[in-house]
Amino acid sequence: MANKISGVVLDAAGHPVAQARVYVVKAPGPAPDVAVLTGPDGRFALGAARSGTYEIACSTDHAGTASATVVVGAHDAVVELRLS
Amino acid sequence: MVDRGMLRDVPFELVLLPGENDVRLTLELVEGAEVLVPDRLGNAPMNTEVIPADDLLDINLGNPTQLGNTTGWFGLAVYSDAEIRGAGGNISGYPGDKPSGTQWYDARKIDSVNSRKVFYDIDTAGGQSGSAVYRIVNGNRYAFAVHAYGGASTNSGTRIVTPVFNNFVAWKA
Repeated sequence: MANKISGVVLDAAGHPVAQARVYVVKAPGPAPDVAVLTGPDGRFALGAARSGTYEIACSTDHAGTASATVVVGAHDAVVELRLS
Repeated sequence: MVDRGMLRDVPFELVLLPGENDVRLTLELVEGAEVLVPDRLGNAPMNTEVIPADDLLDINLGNPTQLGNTTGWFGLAVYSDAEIRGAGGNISGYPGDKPSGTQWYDARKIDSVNSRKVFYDIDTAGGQSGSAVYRIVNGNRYAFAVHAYGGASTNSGTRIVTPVFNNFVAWKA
């Protein structure tokens, strides 16, 4: 079952951050070594082909970094990444 | 690198920055490039997890370009299992955990190989999928795989076997 991890990247003040790089750090198995860029609304979506626990991270050039652990099961996972 | 879902669901536009490494190697941007996907991948059900033999795509720059005279050229090669196992692998690309537009490089031995994939612990991060896994022979660089997956203990790429090589050649024509 192919699911996805979707969410939004926010800066310390809670504003959406565009052009942030979001990528998988750890996955339940081999995962495509991709990074996605957030849209103007700070939103992103990453493919998550396997069920299980994923660690994702976010990097920006000037607004900081963030990471989160999410569980993908029968449904898509949704996460908010707050930069610091 | 693009997610397979993008190839069907959302029209998108590519802007390529050839050879960028903190500063742009060339001011020539490539816009409106065409993405070519192997037929079997393009038509596969979206819940198909992995199609190793076809797990790659090509970005066709369209008009003939001499960009390679500035950025350099990669060769492609089909090597035997023994040749790959004995070779060092090199990957250069754009990891998402480093400042944008900066190119990073690592080289290590190849761990193992099967009929469709090559496995190694060359250091990579999200964003480097699509990079050539290459060896250097007499000063020339020859790709023998296309980096695709990160894993807990090993990373891997789609091996350039004869059908893949022929696909690239056909796309290039």
